[in-house]
Amino acid sequence: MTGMIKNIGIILTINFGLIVLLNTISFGRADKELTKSSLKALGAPNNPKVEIIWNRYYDQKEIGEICRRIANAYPKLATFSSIGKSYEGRDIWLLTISNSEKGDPDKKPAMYIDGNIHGNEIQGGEVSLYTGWYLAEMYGHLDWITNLVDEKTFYIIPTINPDGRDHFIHDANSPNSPRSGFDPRDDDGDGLIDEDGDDDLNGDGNITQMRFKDPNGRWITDPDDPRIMIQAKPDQKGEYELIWSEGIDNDGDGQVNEDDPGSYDPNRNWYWKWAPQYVQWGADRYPGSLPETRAVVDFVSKHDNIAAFQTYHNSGGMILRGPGNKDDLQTYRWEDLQVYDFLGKLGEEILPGYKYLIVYKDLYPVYGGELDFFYGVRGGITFSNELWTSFDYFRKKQEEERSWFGGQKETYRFDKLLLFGEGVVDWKPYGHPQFGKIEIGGIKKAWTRTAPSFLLEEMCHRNMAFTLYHAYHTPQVSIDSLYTKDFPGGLTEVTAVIKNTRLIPTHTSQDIQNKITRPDYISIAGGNVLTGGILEDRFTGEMKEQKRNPKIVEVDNIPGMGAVYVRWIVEGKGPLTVTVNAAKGGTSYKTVK
Amino acid sequence: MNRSFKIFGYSYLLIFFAFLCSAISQNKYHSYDEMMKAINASVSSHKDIAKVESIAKTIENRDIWVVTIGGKDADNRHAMLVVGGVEAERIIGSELSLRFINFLIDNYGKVDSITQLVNSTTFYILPFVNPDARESFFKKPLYSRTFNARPTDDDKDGAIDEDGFEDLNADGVITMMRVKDNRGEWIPHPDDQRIMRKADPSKGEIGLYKLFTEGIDNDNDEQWNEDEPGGVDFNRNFPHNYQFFSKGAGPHQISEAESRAVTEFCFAHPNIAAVFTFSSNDNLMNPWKKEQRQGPPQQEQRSGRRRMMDDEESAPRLLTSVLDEDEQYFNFISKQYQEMTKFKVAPQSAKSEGAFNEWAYYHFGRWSIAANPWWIPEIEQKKDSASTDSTRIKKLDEKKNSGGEGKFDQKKVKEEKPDEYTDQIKGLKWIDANGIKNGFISWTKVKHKDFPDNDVEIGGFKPYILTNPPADSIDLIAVKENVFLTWLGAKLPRIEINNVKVESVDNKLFRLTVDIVNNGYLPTNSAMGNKARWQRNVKVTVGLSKDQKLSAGKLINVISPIKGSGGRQEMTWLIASRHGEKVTLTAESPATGTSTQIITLK
Repeated sequence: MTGMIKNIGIILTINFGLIVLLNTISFGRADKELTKSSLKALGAPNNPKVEIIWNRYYDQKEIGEICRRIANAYPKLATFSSIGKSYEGRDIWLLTISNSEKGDPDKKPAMYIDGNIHGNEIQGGEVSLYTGWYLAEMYGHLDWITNLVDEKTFYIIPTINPDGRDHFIHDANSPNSPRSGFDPRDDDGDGLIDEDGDDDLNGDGNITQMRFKDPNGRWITDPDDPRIMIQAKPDQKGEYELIWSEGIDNDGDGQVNEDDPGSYDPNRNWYWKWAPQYVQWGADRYPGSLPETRAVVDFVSKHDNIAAFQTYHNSGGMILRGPGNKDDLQTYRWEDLQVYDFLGKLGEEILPGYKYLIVYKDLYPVYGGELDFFYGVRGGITFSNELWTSFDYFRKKQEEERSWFGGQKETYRFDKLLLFGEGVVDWKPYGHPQFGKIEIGGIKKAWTRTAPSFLLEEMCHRNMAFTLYHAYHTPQVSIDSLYTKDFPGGLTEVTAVIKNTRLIPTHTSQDIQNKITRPDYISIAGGNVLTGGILEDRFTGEMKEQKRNPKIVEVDNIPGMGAVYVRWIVEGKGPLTVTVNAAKGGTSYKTVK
Repeated sequence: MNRSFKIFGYSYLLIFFAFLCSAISQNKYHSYDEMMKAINASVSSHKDIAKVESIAKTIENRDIWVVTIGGKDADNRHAMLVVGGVEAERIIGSELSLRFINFLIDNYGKVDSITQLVNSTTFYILPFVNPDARESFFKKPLYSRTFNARPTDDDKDGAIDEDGFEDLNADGVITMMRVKDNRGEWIPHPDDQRIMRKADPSKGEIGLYKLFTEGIDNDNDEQWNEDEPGGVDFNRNFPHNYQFFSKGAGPHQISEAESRAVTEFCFAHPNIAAVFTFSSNDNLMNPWKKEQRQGPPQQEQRSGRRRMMDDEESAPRLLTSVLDEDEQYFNFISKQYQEMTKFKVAPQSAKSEGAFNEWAYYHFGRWSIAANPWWIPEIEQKKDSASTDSTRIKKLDEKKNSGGEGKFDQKKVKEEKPDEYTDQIKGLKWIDANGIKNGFISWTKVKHKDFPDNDVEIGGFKPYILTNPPADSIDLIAVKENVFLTWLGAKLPRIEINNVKVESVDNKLFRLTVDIVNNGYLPTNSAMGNKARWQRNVKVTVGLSKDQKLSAGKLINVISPIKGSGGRQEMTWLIASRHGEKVTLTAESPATGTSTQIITLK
């Protein structure tokens, strides 16, 4: 008897071991020969150290596994960690990319990237991962990438809603569910929590639609594609009535699917311009009420070096910037809008079909959104991309431009011509316990908002390219020139020209206005410093003296593609070294004899 | 109505005496340790109805305690939350909370009205919510600390907590420092030379002094004491009217262990119907008034599912003043408070930015009542000065409302109008009249390294003196607040099923009609609570047996708010059932209680 139990134990262990092994193999793609090519297609590496298939979607565990493999393969360039746990206890993985031999990554100008804040908007995860992987793999092969990884740091969090992601991937869902995380809420105010969500009645892993034949209904099927339901013309006789998304009235209150898991909007839970539920649906109990929000806020608040932020959503093909609402218009001042506009328009060029838009005006009002937090509270230039555009259906302007998800006709046409029907569940009869004879059918969860396999890799690469330019333009400070001049009384006048060679200033206007990031320090070593300050007019030589501690001159900002001029009067001879240290712009020094 | 008033009056007397008996040895301010001892002693004397738990630890390792009075079933009955010490400089709030705890516990089982109240209503009492700051009252040098211990770069210079106060004259107290300097903007106040006032150049006044808090410029930035240890003020850390980037507000809303614990406690206790706060953001002497100008009409979003699109023009706006439907209730409560306490003239409500009591109404959606625990009393010059003053203020109000035209002598009104120095002048008069030793430290010269060539004097009000009463008067104040809190505790909404009527349609089909009645004073939800989503409406559920069936009506009904004082909602169901069979009807919500009726259909 005991022996048998032991045996079972061994069999289970072996089985488990095999599963792990098989997993590793499927990741590792043992057959290297197949992936080698005699001509490298330009773009991604053709023989990477870490093989990853970029035409599928990964869950939270797999994302962690991929990050771990990148970090193991490139210990100098990549580190893998967790910034905290989700409500259900999943890790929120962080992949940090930077050449640690060229300086402490936490002190280099940094780009923050995340994806998937909404549970169903998963491909931000793949775009983020691809970015980390590409940077590590291409380091040393392309100068532009090598310099970028030497100079900058990328903090990449592929999913900041791992609960939503895993439920989307592993549970039955529609393309639109779950938007939320999984901290339970009572949506219908009946004192019961999450008691009536969708139900996958036909067990096909998708939440689709329910219809029933009804001579008095107001719906008919589209004559061009009978899978599509359209409304009957005003004088036309109907054939069907649409009921609701797939489900039953679980709690007997006469409503169907009215209290699904969670039901808040993680992207309305952020501190800047947060507004309560009656103004902003989904705001949840209070700003920062969700553990995922707090994990990200704690992380970015401890990283003063982050100068730029990118978040990935789906869908619609948009490059979005704030403000999220009209009440916040004055926060976005013209100095920073120059930067936004330049990068946004660059994005439109890199991402065909994507439009550079402003949330409050071109989309809808958002209070307490993540992108407004990053700009409003952290002072960083922030974009949010809505990945996947209906432009990609047939690479032309849509016939119907009813929604950002593309016209219904094109959606079904693409499914028919390129997916051969894989994206849609055909209508089939079903015996509903409450509604009797009905039919179930419609769009599958993996269609309309997430890209099909053959377009996913392209989406990853193009969006990464946009973000790399954004990262490239985080401030980069250096000492342009340093010269000395004799000064009466045997003293020396030292002048340093400190430049920022990129587009983004060391302090955005929102940052300067509210003193978010400490000043940039420009310090001099060697010699006895008598006085020092900022040269306000380099032609007349008018200096604003810094009485306190002139050895370290504090500068509010070093503008993008611009310079500041600092002067000291020094006693004594010998080499002088000037160092610029900007929290968001890096560190650099120069010596003069 | 009359009879209940009599009963109330009678119990008022009773509890008054009961209180005096229980209170004799209390006239003091309690440090954190003493407070804990007192609370534990009180709670352990009546473990059947009281318990004490910690909801958070502060950076300095103190606990935030919540005392629950209401016995085993406490979380299942409607409740009132009482919060003391949201403003750490008003430590009196904590003392009054402690006395309310003692009052309920000591009188339970002795005074019928209190026993009944505690048996039907739960009280959650948080005596202090910012204990690290509060403890400063018991330390030297004495300074009025409002911040918790989070290290913060208050002046945003890249250095943290680098320039705090120094007790330059070594008197154990941090006061003010005036420096004679013709570049200064300050002059002695003409009404009392001890007080410093900003010179008004438009009146030809020339500044004589610079004015700072007591200390040196530790970091040589020509600012004095601009970055004291610690950083976040509990009562500025809440999301309503939160001020980003302002000193003491914290890095963002609800950023602190203290504010988060209190917020989470609130959401974990949906049975809280009303929130009472000891705070100078008072709305009892200064009841909330509806602003005339409000945004566009409000839009109901309560039941909205995945609402993404908002019509720009009709989009709801943030509410910043009390809602119409709620205003009258706040007014009534305020009137009752003024009658019970006999308070006449009170300072204006403090400016609130991120204040707890406003959050409790605007976001948590509960009836939120705040009492200023103490202020400098009027010094009676004439016999009838209090009522004269109140008449004057009333007139001022009338004037304000009439748009500031005519009627009164403008000059006279202007002179009498209270300004930022009125409280200080009043304070000095009160200190002098009562002979309070060292209430105001008189200006004395010191040598100051930062001002070697100037005359520097140290002096000013002793910290806490203007915000807290002398210890020997705490108990008397507590009597008034306890009476009011007891009254308020009895005013919470209370749901009942009434007027049950069964009509037989044909002996197989029955029409059941009932009234869902709110027998409390307060409506089941404030209008704000109804908007804010986080307070549940009353749910009415019909329990049927297997062979019964509803022909009309719903099994589960979430109904609209019901007004108090017998406000009702009629409900009807048609039930197919055998004659003589029973149905169970339940009406409940956490903040209104549960009422169940088993009804025979015949």
